[in-house]
This record gives sequence, structure tokens and C-alpha cells, in this order.
Amino acid sequence: MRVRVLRRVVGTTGLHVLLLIGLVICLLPLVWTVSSAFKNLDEIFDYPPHFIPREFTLTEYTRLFEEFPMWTWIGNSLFVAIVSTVIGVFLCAMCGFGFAKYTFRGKSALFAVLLSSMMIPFAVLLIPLFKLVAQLGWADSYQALIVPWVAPAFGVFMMRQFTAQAVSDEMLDAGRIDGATEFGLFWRLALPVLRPALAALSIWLFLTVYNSFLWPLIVVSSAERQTLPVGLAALLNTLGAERGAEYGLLMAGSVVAMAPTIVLFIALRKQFIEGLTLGSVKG
Amino acid sequence: MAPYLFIAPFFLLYGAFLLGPTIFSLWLSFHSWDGITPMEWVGGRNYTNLLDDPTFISSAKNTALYAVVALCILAPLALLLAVVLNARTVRAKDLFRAVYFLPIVLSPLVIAIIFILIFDKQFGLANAALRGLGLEPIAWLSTPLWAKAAVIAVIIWRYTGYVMIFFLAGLQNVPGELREAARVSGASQWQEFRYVTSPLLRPVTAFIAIIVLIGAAQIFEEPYILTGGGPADATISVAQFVYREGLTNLNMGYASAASVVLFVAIAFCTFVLVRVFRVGREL
Amino acid sequence: MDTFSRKKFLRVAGGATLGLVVTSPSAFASRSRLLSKKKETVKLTMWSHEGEIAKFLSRRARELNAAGTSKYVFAPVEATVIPLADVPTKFLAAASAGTNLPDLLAIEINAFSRYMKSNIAQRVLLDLTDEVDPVRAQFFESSLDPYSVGGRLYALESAYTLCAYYYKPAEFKKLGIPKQIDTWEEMLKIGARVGAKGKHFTTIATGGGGVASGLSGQFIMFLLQRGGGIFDSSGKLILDSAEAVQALDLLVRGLKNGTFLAVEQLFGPTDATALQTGKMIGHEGADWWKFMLTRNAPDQSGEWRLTPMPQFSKGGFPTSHFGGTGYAIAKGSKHQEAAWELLSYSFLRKRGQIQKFKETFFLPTLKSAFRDPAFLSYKDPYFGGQQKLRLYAKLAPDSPTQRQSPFWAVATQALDRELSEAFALRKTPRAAIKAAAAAVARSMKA
Repeated sequence: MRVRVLRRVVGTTGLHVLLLIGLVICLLPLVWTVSSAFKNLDEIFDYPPHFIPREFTLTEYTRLFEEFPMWTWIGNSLFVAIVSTVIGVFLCAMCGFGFAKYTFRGKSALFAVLLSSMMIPFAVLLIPLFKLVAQLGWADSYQALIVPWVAPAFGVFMMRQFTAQAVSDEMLDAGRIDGATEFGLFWRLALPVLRPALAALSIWLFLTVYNSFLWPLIVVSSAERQTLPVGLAALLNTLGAERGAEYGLLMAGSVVAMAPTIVLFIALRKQFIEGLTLGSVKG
Repeated sequence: MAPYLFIAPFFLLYGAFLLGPTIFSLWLSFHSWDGITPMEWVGGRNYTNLLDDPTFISSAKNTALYAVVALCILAPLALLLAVVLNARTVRAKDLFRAVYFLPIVLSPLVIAIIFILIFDKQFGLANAALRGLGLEPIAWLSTPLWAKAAVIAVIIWRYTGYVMIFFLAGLQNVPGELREAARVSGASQWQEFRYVTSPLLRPVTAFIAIIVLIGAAQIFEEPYILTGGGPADATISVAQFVYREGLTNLNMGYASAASVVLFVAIAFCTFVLVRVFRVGREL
Repeated sequence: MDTFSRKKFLRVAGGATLGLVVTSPSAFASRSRLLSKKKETVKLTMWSHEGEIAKFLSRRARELNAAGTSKYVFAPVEATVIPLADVPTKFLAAASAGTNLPDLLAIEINAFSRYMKSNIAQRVLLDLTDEVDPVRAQFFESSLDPYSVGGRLYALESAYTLCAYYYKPAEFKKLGIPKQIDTWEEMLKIGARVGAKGKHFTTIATGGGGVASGLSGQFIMFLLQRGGGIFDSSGKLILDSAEAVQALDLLVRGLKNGTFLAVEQLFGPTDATALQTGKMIGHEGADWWKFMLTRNAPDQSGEWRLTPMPQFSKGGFPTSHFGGTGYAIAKGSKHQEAAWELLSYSFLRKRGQIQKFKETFFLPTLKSAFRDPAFLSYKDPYFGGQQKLRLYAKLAPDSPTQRQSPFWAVATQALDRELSEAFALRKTPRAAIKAAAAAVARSMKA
């Protein structure tokens, strides 16, 4: 008995040690980025590397915000990402619900179409999609930035699987007996149970839209619509390819850029801890 | 009627924006086009040229490697982490989950800088560690074998925590009571996982396996920013090949043909996975 | 008159004139000719990977406005800054979709080939040949040729990227190195001794360092200096040549014996570290390489000087080129005439060229600029007041020309591949060059 307890203690401690190692591995690059953002340019690439700035400075941040339209970039990226996420998550949840909980003609074919749309690299769709968007008169507009993201097949597939796992037929039948409409079943019964999935999907969609580079690069032609990833990438060359990269500004910009996603994750993380286990009818 | 209403908004948007360009790019694969001058029919010549193109062959092999690593190392590791960080005996779960998630929020530009530094032959952390262990330093990014390893390391670092989130979401809908019941009846942790958690997680596992496969098959950023696809095509992915041929070399028909080949390969593997995980047969 | 009443006076005067105009029909005919010359305000847009030229053009625009001779009034040039590799992608996508084109476009010299494919340039860029012909002889041909296709010129070079050798005289003296090394072969001999002490004559990008590793760019600079090239003036592939093998062989041997230091990426973090830790006691580079110094090693100001590059003993040029950016006018622009007026005012006049140097430090492409005494007397503070323009003036007339081809991108991709093999000693320089040439030939045939 004592051996068993000891083994468990050692096992748990060993586990925690491994987890800590993993934590350090994940954190180090981020810590280095954050600390670099507070250093002068010639200190960033010092060898051997050190984390505490010898000379703590905010110049990179002030330069970043003074010389470049950071607020515009952040505002655009946030706006497009938030709108796309709200609309996209809703549409995906609905569509996933339809695929998971109903049988209907053409279901497998449509699902196959859905899956296959995920298998094509975006680079080949770029020009024809841009042409289409331009013909609609949407070049350089918010609609154009949002449009490719509100119907992500990934999201539908995800919601379909999570719905199949978490939402039971019995629960829905009980709802039908109580006189709920089909949409009511979705809205009032399924969605609450799907909160963990919705949270995960929101994070995925937000990240995908927020970090997207190629599409905004092509679509945006005015300074007012420029998004953060494209703006930051331009920083690397901003004083000319011939002049070398603005590493300090890039570090500062990246630290600022990370913030919204981290905030979103913190806001949603309770969904992963407490999900809905389960007063619902199961088993 | 109801299911069609649920899926309609998604498919309408999809049909309007993404279906057209997709079909166009299939049509394009039989032509030669630079995006500006008129298209020229070439029949199957793009496809035969692909078979003779050593860069394409390399990119296909590399992509296959990335997919295998993602499926066999990354996904299981993410699952393991999710299970561990969902267990009762682990402390500070919240903190670990948040930190493991963090790598994905860092901008690819910064990731490139950091990991190029880490893998630098002279000044890099990796070789500093090797020297500390008394081993010879490695020219990571200029040796084909080690460049592959470096790219894979970055991929695992970046995505494991992210995939873990999806598993965590799925685990929330595995009732704690059932797992408790299994443990009380004397099942070991492994048995509990195998016979209770795993089957209940299957639709989610299926989803994750498929999106990891599709995501790895379309990987672009990590090899591109770390090594530019080199050295000597050692790390180039099919997605980068498509991007380069289509947008840089203006061989859009050729790029389309490559993406069709990629599509067929992914579709085949996905089909296999769908069978293995019995997707669509949860009802 | 104080400001307030001056304004008031002008307002009154203006009003009176207007009143006169309106109320005297007999004078109306001649007045209307005056009025019809009302100026059109033009706001030019530019897509570029950098913002300095746009600022330069904006200042010239102010001068034009003040002179009043143009029929346009120019607002400041609005530049959208985009990553270097993506400028052509974005422009060609916009041209393809027929939407939102800028007036002015920056074309990096190595990106020009993307506009040469199927002579896309003719469709999307304004042909500048006829406008430039009258003054063409005043410019260095090697600054114009790379932006031409089919004998027609489409962009004006903004930066004449002459290459020289940067070095630290104090370090050279300490190590007993002669101040002027005439040939690369000589440098290699000295380098064996010096390299062992951890000091290197330059850094060479050996690849595997991400996208903009500068791998083939540096090699091409050496190749051009040796008198070789990737393509000749008729677009024929000439990469597989003795010159190319010799240039690559120099780099490989230099790396092997310690003369040169390998870094993953030019201007990258480790390049900067080599500079900051004093391992780099010299570096070949274009005029803009000085920014590497001023940004990463401001503390080394005064320690560096410029001198002509060593040459290849088997022949070639005393200098070379590395990079450059031409400025073109989009055919889809609604302000072609105004754009050309501003561009030609800023780039084709000697005063503009000299102002360009003062404001952006890009070297002029105009021959007469290098004969101007005031211009040549410029003292660069970072180089201890060295009058470096005199050096460039000596080098300027005799520089190689980068011959372009629609397959330039394919060639640099092939070179990136094969050069890393050669640097890692997995292929001999001859085998690497042959393989790269074969890959390009294959693409040219397909």
C-alpha cells in the first residue's frame, strides 16, 4: 500500500516536472519577444542572449505608434475578425446541427463537397475570388475582408462532429414532445451543450481571420483598410529592402498583436474547464 | 424541410463565393495562364510536367512526412496533454492550458526570427545545448535532414497546444461520473481511457485526425519562414510550391494542376480516415 | 502688414477681382481663358516596399506647386508600404481583376522579370522609352537596361547600387593586412591566416535562413563582377560558364579556409551579431549596405572606411550591383500624365538626382551628378568624414549590367537550391552551377 502511494506521488511529481518543462519550452520564445520589445535595436541580438533589458526602453513602442498607423491596423483587424467570428460561428453551428441531427436527401454528397472544399490551397483560389469580389465592386472593402470567412467548411465539420458527440437524440426528442420548434431545439437545447465547441471554434475562427495575410494583402489598397499582419510584415522592409529590417518595431508590434487573442482565450477558457457535464439526458 | 433551412445559409455563401473559384481552378489546370494574358489550352501537359519536376516530387515527399508526423506525433501528444490537463490530480491546470496554447498567437514573422536564431550554427541555442552535452554542433538549417527536423520541431511547438484545446472541448462532454465509475470498479488509468473516454470522444477524435491531416497537407508557413523551402528543396511543401508557381512564377495553370494532385491525395487519405473513425455513423 | 490684415487684404482683393470678372462681360472672353487654366489637384498613390521615395517625391511635388509651371497641383504622394516579395503579387492580382491600381509602382530589380513574362509589362505599365530617349545618354545604361523588355523602358531606377568594400583600417593594421587588396585570390591567401584568429573579411549567406536569405543575390553580385551573368542581352541562358564556376569557387574556398564567415541570412540576426562582436572586419556591399552598419553598430562609427572591392584576377569589373528599385507608372492609372510629370521632374533632372541622394542616400543614376564638385565633396559622418562619393564616381562608369529574363525568378530559385548544396560541400561548384543551369533550361523549355 505504501509503495503504491509512493509510486503515485513520484508519478504525479514526475508528471508535473514534465509539464513544467513543456511550459518553459512554450514560454521562452514569447518571453524573449516581449523582452526584445523593450530593448534598443542593437541590444536585441546580443550574444549570449539575455532576457532582462540592460536598458529598458519604450522607444520601439512609441516609434511604432507614432510613425505607423497602428491603431488603424489593429482596429481593422479586430473589426473584421470579430464580425467574421460572430457570423461564422453561428452559421457553422447551424449547418453542423443540420448535418448531425437530420437525415435528408443529398446529405452525403453535400458533406463530401464540404470536406473537399477544405483540401484546396488558398493560393489557387486567390485570383478568381479576387476577380469575383472586384466585379461586385467590393475591392478594398470590409465586406471583401469578411466574406471568405463566414462560411468556413472547417467550422461546419467541427460543429457537426461535436454536435454528434454531445447532443443526444433523446434530448431533442424530449424537446419535440414539449412542443419546441426545430430552430428552438437548436437554439435552446443544443447550443448550451455545445458551449465548449463554440468556444474552441470561436478561437480558431478569430485566430484564422485575425492572422490572415494573403487575402488582405491583395484586397486592401488603401491605407485606411490595412490590417495588422500586412502592416507588420511591411515593417520588415519599411525603410527599403536595402536598409534592413526594423526588428525592434516588429517585436513591439508582435507583442501588441498577440494581446487580443490572449484576451479572447482567457475570456473563453472557462468553457474548457467547466463544460456542461451533464445534467442532460445521457445513458 | 428543416435540415435544408439549417444548412442553407452556409451553402448559399459557399456557393456564391468559394464554389466558383474552385471549379475555375480545376478548369485552369488544363491551361497555361499568367493571370493577365489570355489562357492557353495545354491539356494534360501540366500534369506530365509535374511528374518530371524534381521540386514538386520533393515537395510531395516533404508534405507526406509532415502529415505523418502530425498524425502520429502531434495529435496523440495533444490528446495526451488534454487528458492530463483534464485530470483531477493535476495542479494549475488553468495555467498550463493557457501557456501551452500561447505559441499559436505569436506572429509567424517573429517565429521565423526566433527559430532561425535558435537553430543558427554559430550562436544558436540548439547548438549551445549540444556543445554543453559534448556533441558536435549541427548546421541545422543548411543540412537537409536537420532542416526537416527543425521545421517539424517548430510545427509541433506551434500547434500541439492548439490541437489540445479541441480535445479539451471534446473531453468536457465525456461525463465525469462514468469515468469515476470505471476507476472505482478497479480500472487502471489506461483502461479507463481506452474503454470509457476514448469511445465517447470518437467523433471529436475523428474530426481532429482529419483536420490535422488536411492542415498538415496544406502546411505553408513553417517551412517557408524557417528555410524558404530549402536547403535544396529539403523542406518545401506542396502549398509553397503552388504559391511559388502560381503567384511568383505566374504559372497559374501549373499551380492549379499541383493543387488538384494535392486535393486527390488528401481526399483519398481523408476517405480512409472517415472509414477508420466511422464518421457519419454516430447516429 | 501683420498677418491678419494681410489675409483680409487678400480676401478683399480676391473678392474685387472676382467681382470685376463677373461684372465686365467685355473682359470676360479673355478672363475665361485665364480661368479655364484652373489647375487640377492630383493625389498620386504609390505601392512600394519602402516609403522614402514617396516622401522624396512629395517634396519635389511641393517645389513643382510653388513654381506654378505645371497644370497640376500635387498633393503629397500617398504610399502603401507592402512587403517586398508581395508588391508584384498584389499589383498583378489587381491588374488581373481590373481593379484599384496605384499610379506609381516600385519594382525591385529582381522582381522586374515577373513583368516580363508574356510581355505583361506592355499591358500594365506605361512605356517610358520615347519620353526618356532624348536624355538617355546622360544616364548609366546599366541603370536603365534592367527595366526594359522588348527594347522598351518601363521604369526609372531610383538607386544606383554600386558595390565597394567596407573595412576597418585599425583592424587591418593590427592584423598586418595591407589597406588595399587588389584581388580576391590575394584576400583568400591572407584570409587563411586571419580567419584562424576569428576575424573575417566578409559574411556569406549560406542559406536555410528563411525566405529573404539573400543567398543568390550575393552570388549574383560576384558573378556580375567577374563579368558573367545568368542571361545575356538576348535572353539566352549563359549561367553554365567558367565565370560562374569561378565566382562560386571563390566563395566556397573562402568559406572553407576561414576568409569568409557563414551566416544563415544576410542582414539577419546572426549577421548583426557577427558585426557587433567584431568578427566582421570588412564586408563587400552596395552603397546601401552602410545601413547595416548605422543600424546595428552605431558605436562603430568612425571605425569603418570604403575602398574599391578586390577584383577577380581572371578579369571582370571593378565594381558590381546588388539590388535596386525602379519606379514605374501603371497603365491603369487615371493620372498618367501627372505621374510622369512628377517622376521626370524628380528623377531626370540633375538637381533632383542630387536632392534624392541628400534625402534618401540612394546614389544617382545620372552621369553628370558624379562630376558635380559640390556633390562629390559630401563627407559621410559614419565613415569619419570620408568623401565616399569620389570613390563611387571612379567606379560608376565601369559597372556590369544585369541582363533580365522572364525566367529570372526561376533562375534565382534554382540557384538558391544549388548554392546551398555547394556551400555545404555536398556538390562541387561546377556541379552546382551545371545543375542550376539545367533546372532553368528545363523551365525555359516547358
